[in-house]
Amino acid sequence: MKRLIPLLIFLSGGWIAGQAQTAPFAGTVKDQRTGEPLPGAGIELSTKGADGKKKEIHLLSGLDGSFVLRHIAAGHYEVSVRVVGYEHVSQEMDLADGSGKTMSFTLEPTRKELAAVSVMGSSGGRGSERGSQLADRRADIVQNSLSARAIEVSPDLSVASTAQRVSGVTTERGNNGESQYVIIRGMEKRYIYTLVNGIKIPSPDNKNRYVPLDIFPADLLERLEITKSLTPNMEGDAIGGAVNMIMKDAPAKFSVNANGALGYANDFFTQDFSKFSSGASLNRSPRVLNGGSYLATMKDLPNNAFSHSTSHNPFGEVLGLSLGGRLLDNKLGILVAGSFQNNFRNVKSVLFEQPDQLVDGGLPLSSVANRHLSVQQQRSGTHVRLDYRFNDNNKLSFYGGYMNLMRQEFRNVSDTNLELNRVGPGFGRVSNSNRDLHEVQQISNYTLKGEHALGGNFFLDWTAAYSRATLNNPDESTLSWDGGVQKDPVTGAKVQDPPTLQGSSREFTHSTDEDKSGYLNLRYVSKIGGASVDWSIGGMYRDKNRTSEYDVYNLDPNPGGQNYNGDVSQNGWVVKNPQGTSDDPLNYTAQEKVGAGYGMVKIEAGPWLITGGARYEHTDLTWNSNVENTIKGKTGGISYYDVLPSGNIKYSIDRKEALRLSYYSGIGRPNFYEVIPHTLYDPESGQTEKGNPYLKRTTADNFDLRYEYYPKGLDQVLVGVFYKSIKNPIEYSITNIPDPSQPQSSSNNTYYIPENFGNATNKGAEVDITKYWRWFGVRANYTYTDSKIKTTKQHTFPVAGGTKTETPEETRPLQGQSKHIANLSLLFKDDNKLGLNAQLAFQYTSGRINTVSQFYNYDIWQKEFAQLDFSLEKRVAHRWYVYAKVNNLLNTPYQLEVHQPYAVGTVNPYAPYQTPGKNIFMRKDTYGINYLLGVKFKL
Amino acid sequence: MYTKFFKVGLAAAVLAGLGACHKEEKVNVSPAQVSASHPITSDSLTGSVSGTLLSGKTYYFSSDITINQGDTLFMQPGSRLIAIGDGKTTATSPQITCNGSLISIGSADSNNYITVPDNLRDAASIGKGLWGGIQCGETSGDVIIKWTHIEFAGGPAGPAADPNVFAPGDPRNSLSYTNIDGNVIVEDSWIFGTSDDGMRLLHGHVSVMRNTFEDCGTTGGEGLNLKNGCVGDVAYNLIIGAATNAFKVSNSGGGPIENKTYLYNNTMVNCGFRQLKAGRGGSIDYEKGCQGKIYNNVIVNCRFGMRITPDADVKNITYNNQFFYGNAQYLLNQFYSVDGVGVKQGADIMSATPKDNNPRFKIYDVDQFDYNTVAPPLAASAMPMTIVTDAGYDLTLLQSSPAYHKGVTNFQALRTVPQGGSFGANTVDPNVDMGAFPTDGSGNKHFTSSLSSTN
Repeated sequence: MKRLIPLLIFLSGGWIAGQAQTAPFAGTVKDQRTGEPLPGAGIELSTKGADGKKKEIHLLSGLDGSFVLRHIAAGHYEVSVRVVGYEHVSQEMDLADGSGKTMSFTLEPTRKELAAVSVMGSSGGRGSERGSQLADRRADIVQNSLSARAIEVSPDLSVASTAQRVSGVTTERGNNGESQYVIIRGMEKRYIYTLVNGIKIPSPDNKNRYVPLDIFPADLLERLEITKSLTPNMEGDAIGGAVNMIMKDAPAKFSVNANGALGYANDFFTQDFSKFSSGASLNRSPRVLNGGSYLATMKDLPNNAFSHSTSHNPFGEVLGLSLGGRLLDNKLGILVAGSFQNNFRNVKSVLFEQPDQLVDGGLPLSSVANRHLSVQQQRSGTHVRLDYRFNDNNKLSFYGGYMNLMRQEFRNVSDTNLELNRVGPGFGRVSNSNRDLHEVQQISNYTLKGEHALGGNFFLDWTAAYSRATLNNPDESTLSWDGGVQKDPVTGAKVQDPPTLQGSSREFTHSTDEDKSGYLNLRYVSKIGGASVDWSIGGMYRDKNRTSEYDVYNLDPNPGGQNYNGDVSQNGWVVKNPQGTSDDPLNYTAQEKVGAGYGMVKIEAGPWLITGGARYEHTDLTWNSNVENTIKGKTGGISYYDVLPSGNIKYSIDRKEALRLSYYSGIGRPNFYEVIPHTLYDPESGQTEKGNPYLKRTTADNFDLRYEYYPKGLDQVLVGVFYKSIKNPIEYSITNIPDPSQPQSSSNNTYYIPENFGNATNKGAEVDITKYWRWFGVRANYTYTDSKIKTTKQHTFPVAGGTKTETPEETRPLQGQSKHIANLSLLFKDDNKLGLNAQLAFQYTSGRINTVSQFYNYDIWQKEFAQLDFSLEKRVAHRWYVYAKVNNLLNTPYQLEVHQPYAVGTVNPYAPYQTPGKNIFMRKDTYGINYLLGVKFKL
Repeated sequence: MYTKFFKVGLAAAVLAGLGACHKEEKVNVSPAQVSASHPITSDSLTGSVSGTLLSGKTYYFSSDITINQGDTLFMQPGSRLIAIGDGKTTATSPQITCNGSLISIGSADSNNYITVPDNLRDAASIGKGLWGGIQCGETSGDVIIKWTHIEFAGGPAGPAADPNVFAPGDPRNSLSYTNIDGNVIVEDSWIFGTSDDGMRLLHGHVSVMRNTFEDCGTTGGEGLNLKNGCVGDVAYNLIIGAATNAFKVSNSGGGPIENKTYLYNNTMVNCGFRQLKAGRGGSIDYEKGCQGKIYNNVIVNCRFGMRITPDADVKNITYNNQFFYGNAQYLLNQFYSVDGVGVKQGADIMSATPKDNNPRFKIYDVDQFDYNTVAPPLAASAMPMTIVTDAGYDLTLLQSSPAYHKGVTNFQALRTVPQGGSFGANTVDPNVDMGAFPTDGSGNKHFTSSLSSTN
């Protein structure tokens, strides 16, 4: 019966009356020390029924710590209340017919903390929203976090999309519309690092440092922390902040969580999904497999990838399983979890390109393309977490995680040239291409950590970690053919061009990045006067090894003059450069050794909590590129050190209110490929990109002031302001200096080069409000950000007798910075009667620079956008739940524009999608709505 | 008590703030390896070369040779430089990498040669790209080429190729030049049978006078391709049988210096028919942001005539006095390419009907190939050697030619390169006659194909 009741409730969709002889029972659960209500407390009523058998009733306290049981049979009950991390309380009561009873429970915390932020021991509840709020409140730093439970009931599947729910965080999306990188307070991905359980992880990217967060399935997390200030024991290269993924830990009680779901995108009602087989393709480049002197033939480059087929209604899947508990008298904790997500998306876009040269009054657009994308993504993750508590003083823990993101993408582009042959609508040169991409990114991380109380108030912890990130994108195949419509010079009729086969290219990209690191921290706890003072010193060392390989094989139709009729097997090819591209600068190795030490003191005296100290970091980067030795900088090295002080002062006004002031000095290291000398001509932009070994790291002074108010329960009000003074920010710009080591040199050529640009500032304010009623909650945050940076641009304008080009400075916001970011989530939460959790999440991001143009006043902006997502979880039987997630309810498009009025010139009045006088339309992608429906089991 | 702690903490924080220290980067970068050049002591050239190739002597190279920055490779009149290659891979199609100066001073009597062994100098080698051409770096010195035959260049680009110019595997040009401040003087020379463009000058000061471009490009490729930052004069050249345009001028890539090309008194015959892509050009093409003057050119049986695209610096392009001849109606229809903004000018002379207004060259039958019988694009095999190379023609105008004395002489050459002497240019101003072979004999001096010369 007990199991049936919730099901019946569910079926009837509402309230049903219980038995005749009943009485209401209500109450609250509170923290004895703080008096705050405790949400999610387990209340168990047990009684002996008339048949002498034991009967149990379970319920949970609401978000405000209260609980109500409207109908309960009269009798003698034993009531016990359990909250993980608190002493267990039980009490007896008699309930008479018809008379209600109200009881209040106050629980004493049992939590013992060894470290400030990282919560140790078996105290569960860390995955709860309360746990994450406590972590934020107790942290020495400015941080916001999301709990596993909040993630679970949110509409999000990957860590990247989860992160955007945090105040001040927006995301940069991949081309399937899914979030990929975070932008914290307008600081883009280069200023942010990523941690797994506090350990920095390497990037699979073959050029850059930053880690794509869409690799990580959100359901492996216990908590996601977005850190906005640093303490001396944290690595210093986080001017924007840090993303710390705290992975699930062994729970105190044996538990099983399983879920399975099917996903569907609404686009597939009307269109098919295009797919191809990458099975016959080589997994690495022919040169890498066979040695440098090998000459590839078409046998090495089979055309299978160009044979496409379609799926009518591809269903995605989500599967998750986690098992955990404690064995050997609670000494050994084990958690094993796995997650698998498979999804299909079609993306439609129309995009314009900027010409490689822009003259005032000239055509601002060179081509318009229709693009169709069919993307399959398979995200999987498994991890194991073990901890062994030898005794109260010694603990050893191990974490092993492996994440894998596979992307299979078919792309068709039909690109109409607006500069040439465009004699009217429907006329012009058309270049068509199909591209098939199969890419696997993997990140693995193994960490062994020991924590020891040495006695005499000394505590020691150490960590040994190995991490490896790889990217393999073998045989990325592009096939191009011509199309287009010419105007008959006599009749003016449309003459269709034959689909003349153009070239084909096969690219093989492979990259690994391997970190070996060790950490050691020693802490001494002392009492001075009435204050408790923690002294800590520590250090870390990381040895990073990175290898990048790149080959492109270009093919020509053989013989020339073939047409492409859609069946590539009819066409013949020859490999133009059978030896591959061993000298491409993307063939490089790099080593980076970072050694750091810090000293930190934390003083807790009455309402004051003061943390401060300094960190020393030494960086030594060396590289060896495969380019010809006639090129300067084939090998090289850069070394430097930083002393990075930081201080945080927290003043607790009373139990519920606090003020925080923090300062830290941070750095932003250039990306690897940016400093490795290279010359790359981009035929699309017409620019020559160069590396710059003389690029300086960015440094910044960061200030934060935050007011915190925690009225009760999970309610909170956080108001803060921040200011960042950034020296030597790194941006790409046009320059005429051919060799950055000789800034006095100049040439009449121009280059697109990463450079340091004096000083930039970034300031803003944040408000984060959470308010819960018993079943209903509102979470809202708003962030205002204003940044400024000055860089040089190219400005070409007509003068008498020709044109003149100047390189003026332009002031603009940092790339990716939105002035206004707002999140609003409406939550419904009833874990008792209805067993229903629902969430409607709305996000607004104002316009931001998507691409910095080389042209003066022609930056490409992403239009403001508002996205709505919905999720629902409903208990259908004891331990069984159904859930649904709907993403992108409004089918919000991704739109780009240039803030210049589009002028119908004499040059070309035939550009579609443009409105004279309105901003220049650059791009619009639509992704459709995605649905996910599934079942969960929790033990 | 607490205040004291606060003060201490604040003081510590302030001190810490002052203590931020960011040590200047120590950067250590390997220098560009330049292998020391060696004097020319044998007839086999390898590695870095510097010095003089002597009159009457023949020299060979079978792997890339380099002229280092500051060095000069000087070819005396009557010297020959022979590339040994098969054009199949980068390694087997050696190039001359020029970071210094390349000076080849042939004479009318003693031509110079940069070509392949004699047994390969035949029609079968056209488009094979047996060697990698002369590839100049962006700090290259001047290139001065006079009375020199440059033949059969192409060969797939590889490690030594400038990524600004070539994608891996792209066929290379006879000459690519990229120093925007350098000088390129090419006079009285022959460019023959390249795989792609005859010459591609990406930047630089140029004077290209009185040369003959024969059968350049296979299924695409121009005779002479001038990109952004090129400024100079192109005149008295004969372009016969180029795959696409005879002359393509474009400021693509932008940059601080606008392409400005004076293109006058050139003769173009049978160009544009091998380009596979529809709607491309066939004689003179001014595109994207370039400017200049276009006068006195003779365009005979080219797939497209003049084309000035809307994105060129149209305001600063002036043109007139062109001669257009076609023996098929579809050629006449495109005398001014319909997708361009160029229109017939007052002093232009055109065939009103097919075969109307024969230009009356001394020795060249403009109707030897009837374009009514074919539909472009044409395979190389569909074009007889006699219409893509100079089979002993003399394209000098007869006095009865409708182009005789129809040129204008009201402007002068730009003369952006040093003039006069052995190493300076002999840039000639526009002629009163149209075309590369004016009746006063001051124009192009070539009356044979490159291949038929052996002196």
